[in-house]
Amino acid sequence: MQLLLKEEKEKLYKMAFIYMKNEHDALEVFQQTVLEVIESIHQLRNPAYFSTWLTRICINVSLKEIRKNKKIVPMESYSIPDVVEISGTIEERMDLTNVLYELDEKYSSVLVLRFYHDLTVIQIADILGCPEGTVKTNLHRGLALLKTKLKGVYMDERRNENY
Amino acid sequence: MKDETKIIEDTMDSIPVPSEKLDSIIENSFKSNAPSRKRTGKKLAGYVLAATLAISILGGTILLNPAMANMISQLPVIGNVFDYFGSTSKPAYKEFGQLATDVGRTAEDKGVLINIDQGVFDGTTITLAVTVQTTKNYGSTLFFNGWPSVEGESAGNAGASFEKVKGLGYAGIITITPQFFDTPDEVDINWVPEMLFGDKKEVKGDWKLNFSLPLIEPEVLTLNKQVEKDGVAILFKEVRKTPLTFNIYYQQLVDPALLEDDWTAVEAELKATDDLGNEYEVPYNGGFTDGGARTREDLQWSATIHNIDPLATKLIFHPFATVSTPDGAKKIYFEDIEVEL
Repeated sequence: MQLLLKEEKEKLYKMAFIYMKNEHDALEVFQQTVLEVIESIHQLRNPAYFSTWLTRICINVSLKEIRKNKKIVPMESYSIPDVVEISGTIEERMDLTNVLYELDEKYSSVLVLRFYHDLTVIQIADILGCPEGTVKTNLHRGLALLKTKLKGVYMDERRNENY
Repeated sequence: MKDETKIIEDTMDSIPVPSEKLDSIIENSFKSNAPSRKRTGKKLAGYVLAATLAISILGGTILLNPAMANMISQLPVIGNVFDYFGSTSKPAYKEFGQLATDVGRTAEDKGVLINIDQGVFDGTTITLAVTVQTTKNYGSTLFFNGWPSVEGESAGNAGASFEKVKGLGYAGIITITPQFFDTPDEVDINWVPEMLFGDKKEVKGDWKLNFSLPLIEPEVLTLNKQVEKDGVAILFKEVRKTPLTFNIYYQQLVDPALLEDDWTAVEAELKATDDLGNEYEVPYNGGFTDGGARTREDLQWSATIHNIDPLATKLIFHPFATVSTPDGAKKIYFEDIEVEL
């Protein structure tokens, strides 16, 4: 199982990071997730769903952690990582990566599960334990919010270009 | 790829992964002094099972030898996939076989031959008929890691349903509904599944499938009918019909006064019946907010109805909306809307 966990570690850690927004808390969530996986592996009936099952545990641990700490993290204190492979100035790149972190977790998590993990609406609904309609609604709202925020960034960029 | 999905990918790719710390957490968690870990007899059984599972998952990626691959290529086919499903488990696809575009693209690796038999692009949804030839038993159904994508369009919703077919392997139908801003005359589709798996086995491989599908020109019927109640309006914009699909486009418009707090959400949905009394589900494909939306809930939706009774002359839509607030959800039922077929 160590091998399997190591194969999934990057995906798992990044999911935790999306929720916790800093390395320290994301590592804490990662550790709790691994422990919970070891404790409850006997409950996994179908090995084909190992990856989805891990993600579900990671999200549950993240939400528990957020509720426990009742964290309200202001944007300024986000530990935003460096960005690779996006052209533009450092300021522009920072703006672009901020937009996903600025979204409420309910939107960012469905967007990440859908467009980064390539899961279907049904799979996401299963992971998050919510109706498919809620996943669809949050996907559309999340995309719409992202679009609006991106538009804001590009408008700012254009404004800067005009100066 | 559009900006939004690229940003999601770039943001995820840019998260620095403290790989060594993660490895050390995993390794330490398996040691006897792991934090908050309780080893009991019962749990030990779990670890043994876990080890077995690990072997079975990793063991799924066995390479097939050339003789096996040759045998697979000689397996019988089931004929037209849409016809096969139309006459068995999915009557909604009965007519698809005759009107769909022949694709005939295949990709083979690890003894698994993926074939895109036919496809339909109706302006909203792309429906693909797929066979997977293999001698291995992956389980009762098949899933893929990686969905087909449409070049230049944002990914939207996707779904797949595969069945085991004796003497072939698997056959299934994949539907994808990208977020089109303008309906193209043709879509270029790429599909690079990295892995396929069922409840018994999985296999990672290198399959690449690229093909194009032309738009089946729909008949557009403008509706412009609006129903309104309790601060929510639903504007029925148009219907797009092809011989294979029936798509309805509608917009929900919400009074800003309903949205005093950030948590209130509104979702307009439809049910439909025809003049013969048949009932239809109207699952929506997806929606978006346009730039000029008055409120964040002013969403535009499209929904598809399959398998309309050919003898029906009229569809009656029964619109309803769910207003979710922190105090609970409230349903609003609107007047029916009739559409001539």
